[in-house]
Amino acid sequence: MKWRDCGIIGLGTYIPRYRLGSEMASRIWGRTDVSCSTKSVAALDEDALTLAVEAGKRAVLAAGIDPVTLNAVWIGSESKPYAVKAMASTVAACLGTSNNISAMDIEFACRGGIEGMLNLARGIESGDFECGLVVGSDVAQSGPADELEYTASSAAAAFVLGTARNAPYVISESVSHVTDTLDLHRRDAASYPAHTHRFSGEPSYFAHITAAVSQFFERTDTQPQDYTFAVFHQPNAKFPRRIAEALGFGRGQFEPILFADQIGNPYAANTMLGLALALSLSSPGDRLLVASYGSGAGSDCFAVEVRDSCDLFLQIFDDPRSNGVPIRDYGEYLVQGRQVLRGESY
Amino acid sequence: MIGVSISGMGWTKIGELWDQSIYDLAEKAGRDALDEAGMPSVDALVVGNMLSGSLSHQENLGACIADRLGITGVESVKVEAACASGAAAVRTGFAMISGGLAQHVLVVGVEKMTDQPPEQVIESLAFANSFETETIVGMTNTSLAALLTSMYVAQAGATLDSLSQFSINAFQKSCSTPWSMFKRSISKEDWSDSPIVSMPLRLLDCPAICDGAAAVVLSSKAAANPLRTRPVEVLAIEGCTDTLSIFERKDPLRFVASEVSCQRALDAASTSLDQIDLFEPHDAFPVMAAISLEAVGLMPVGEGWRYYDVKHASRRLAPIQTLGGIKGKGHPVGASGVYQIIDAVAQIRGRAGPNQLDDVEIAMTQSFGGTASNVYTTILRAGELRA
Repeated sequence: MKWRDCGIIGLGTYIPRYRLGSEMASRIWGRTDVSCSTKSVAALDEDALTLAVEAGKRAVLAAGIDPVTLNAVWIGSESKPYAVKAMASTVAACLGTSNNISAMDIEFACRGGIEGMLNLARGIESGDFECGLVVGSDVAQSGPADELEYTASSAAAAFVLGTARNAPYVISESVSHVTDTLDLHRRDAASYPAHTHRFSGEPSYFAHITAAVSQFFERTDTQPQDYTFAVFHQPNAKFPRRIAEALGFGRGQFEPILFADQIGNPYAANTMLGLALALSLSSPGDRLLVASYGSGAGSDCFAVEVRDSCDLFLQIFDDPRSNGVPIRDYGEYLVQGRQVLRGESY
Repeated sequence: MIGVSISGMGWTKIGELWDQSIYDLAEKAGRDALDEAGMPSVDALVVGNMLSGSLSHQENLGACIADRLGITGVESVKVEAACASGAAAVRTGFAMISGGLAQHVLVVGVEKMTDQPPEQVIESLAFANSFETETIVGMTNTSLAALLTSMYVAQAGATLDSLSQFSINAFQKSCSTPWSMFKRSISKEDWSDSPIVSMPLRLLDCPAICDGAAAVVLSSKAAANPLRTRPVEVLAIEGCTDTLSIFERKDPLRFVASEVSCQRALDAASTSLDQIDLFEPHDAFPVMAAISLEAVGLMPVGEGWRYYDVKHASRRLAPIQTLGGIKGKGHPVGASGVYQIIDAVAQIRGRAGPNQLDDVEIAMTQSFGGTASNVYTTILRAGELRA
């Protein structure tokens, strides 16, 4: 396995506090086939940008660096507040970076943040950057009564990457597998994504992750037993379990990382959040496998090695498995989620 | 009348065949049937299909599939009879040969259902029903079957537990059927845990949206290239219609079209019910299978639902769903009627694997369009091996 001269030197997560129970929506819409779960809901005054700023601040604080030293701020999101106006420049300004940075937003559905992370790693290894911030952040859209309403949620996860020299967590080479596959998608100006039901399974999620992970195993001459934890993109509670077992991982390797039943699917924050959670549970010497998935479609596979014990996790680390504040009724959800606006839209 | 035999068969696996278009499916089944029959072409092609226009933006399947198979120049037509389209296509090919207009006819039943969202598929499936009185008020095939099930429970004393046996047995049998979509059996608990789709029908009572194609080459007996292991003759295939809307019938719990097409087929085949070694009913929903058993005379009126309760005690009762039925194999609607014939031929030829029945000479299949408003009954018999 080739380890890059790049590692994680700071991380931060932010998960909005409100939780919508699945039984609330299923009762309203008369569904009897929805399993019990909750999802995180951003408050009325939050969006993907505010979440990204909060997670970014926490990551920079955890890294213990002056934000002026950041050479790059890259944001992965599919719920940008503006179709044209980068989130990255606002996040950079809020964090207090210099003006001489690489700033960009990345969209590839749920793998935008990971794609940013892997390319930032290349930039740091090549010496173009000394350190940079990558964030995955979404306030995922879902229409009332749609199936996505039970899972599409909100969160942000941020990593500060630097050279491997002082990094407790080092990143490996990666494999990306990309095809032109139209599974979940959202047309320009559409409020909600269209999903493709069962097509999102076998030919989308499972096919791409299987390809990326299999190719990664082959390239690195490793197998499931070589990893302590396996972090998969988790659009729901079933898919990551199925793919993990199909690829040969044991329950102890993936169950501790699962959070879809607690906070749902926060899209671009998803895999990064899973990685953050896995790192919080890891010890020196552990190796983690990470496999992302983004509709449209693509999957990335790479590994992270824990070189050193490190307390990068401040007390304000938001654990995706922890409880939040239950939303009291469906009407409150519609208001907080801006599905129903008072007066002029904002 | 000119006798008709089956010279060749082809099929695709039934399932969510994401990588295969309607053209790919029809080509695979058709080509395999032609290859088995040892014929590069035929005199006519008949395509059975219900939903190509609404789900694949493609009609004129007769020309389309002939083109894809490389047999343009033949006469070709698409036949539609809702979920009985495949059987209706076989009937059309049978009639061509019996009437002396063709010696060899390729019949392809094909359906591609997974390219559109479920809502669109369900809306299109409802084209089988009365738009004016049923669909326009929001009825779907599933809700009609659910209403019928409720009526059956109320009036005939049927129990949902007994009806669940049609689903449970179907999935058990389909596990080893090569062309089947479902390879996992279910328990009574699996059935009762499955969510209600349309009261009182559960998810595991309902047919699956899926893709598939099945094909047979029909030949006049004189010209037939007998199937390598054992010839199979199509003794008869007869159709009958009933009122389109189930609620305009005198008795919605009586499938007259099923009764009449069965009797016509038995008469045309010069045989009787007690000679039938197996029956493949249209078991898309348990209530359909149960009432069709009454209609064909295998069970007393009002007691079709008790079939599995009494089957174990009666050797004389013909087996049903022998390779999983429509329920266990999957229901690519326009192809299902041909798949039923593939099942029956497998049993006659001794190629039914772990579900092989002993000494199958005569098999009967029945395919429903809509709520038994268009029914085809087929009777097949093991032919004699030529010297």
